[in-house]
Amino acid sequence: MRSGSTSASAEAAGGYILAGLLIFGGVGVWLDRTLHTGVLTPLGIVVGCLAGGYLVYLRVVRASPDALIEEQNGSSPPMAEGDSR
Amino acid sequence: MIGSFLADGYIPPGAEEVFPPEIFGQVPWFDKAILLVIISVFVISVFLWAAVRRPALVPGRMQFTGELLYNFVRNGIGRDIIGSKDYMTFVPLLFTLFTYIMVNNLWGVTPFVSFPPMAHIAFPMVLALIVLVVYNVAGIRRQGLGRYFKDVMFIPGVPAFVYPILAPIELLTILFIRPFTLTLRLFANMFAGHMLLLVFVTGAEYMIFEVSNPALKAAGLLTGVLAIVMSLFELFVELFQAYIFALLTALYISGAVNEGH
Repeated sequence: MRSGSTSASAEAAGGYILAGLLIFGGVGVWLDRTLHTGVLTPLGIVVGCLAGGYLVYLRVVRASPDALIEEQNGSSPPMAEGDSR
Repeated sequence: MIGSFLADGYIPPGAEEVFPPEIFGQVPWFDKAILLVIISVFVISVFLWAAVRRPALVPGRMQFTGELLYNFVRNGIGRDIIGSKDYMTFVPLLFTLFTYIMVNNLWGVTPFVSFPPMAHIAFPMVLALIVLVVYNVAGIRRQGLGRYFKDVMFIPGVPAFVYPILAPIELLTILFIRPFTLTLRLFANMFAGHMLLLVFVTGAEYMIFEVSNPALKAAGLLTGVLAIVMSLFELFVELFQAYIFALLTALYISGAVNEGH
């Protein structure tokens, strides 16, 4: 993936947060109704958002081209010839 | 002032604006949105036909514009995002999506039309469903059913105890959230832009022609100027949304066909 897709990656990242919120928030609502408690919905929302955020890190931040080059070289990405950046 | 303004008889536009009445009474589904979509397909077809009708080494204006548009999608979206190995298979889809959404969106700032069909949620929804099928089928064909979903749900280098939390999120994302956000992003931008322009235009018209208060007449003139400024901004949003839709489609396809996504 090139740098041109960075903004699209950021757009796609929002989907992970939303999915985490829906799944674990939904599980929290269901458990709260079943067990007659009141804390599992907010807990589910927090867990879902954190898990979604972790996925954003794994899929977007860690997988970015610069991060991959850095991982391979153990240093900052080298500048290509003629690359003015 | 706003209270008296509304009391004077101004009726602000509402959500019913995206449900135009049918053109022919006997055909209930044939409304302005359908007509514009058909015209858009016709316009794109004629433009592309004219662009490639007489291909020359030194391109004319039409050929140049067509090539510019095609190269932008092919290289700027397809090759850069999907990668040089696989991108050509998906360029027809990306180019079709980009041009189709762009031309349909541009109806929103076209004088005497002022209606972007994508402000009707059914149109972006169908496009997003096509994208959903394409990237999943492409991924399954490339990697096989089991490996594709394993690759999606189980990210390498992550502790095993985290998988039960992350796997359902990944599955929901590729099967539901992605088409949902694609639909919502395009629809909401077009709908909100359409409403905003309508409020500015109808408000300006009402204040200038229907109200006797000089202060409101001056405000109406200012609103009219702002409506033109908003139209230019809306033009940018319409082009940008077509680009974003094609870009995200390429991103999803890239994730599906490239191993270890």
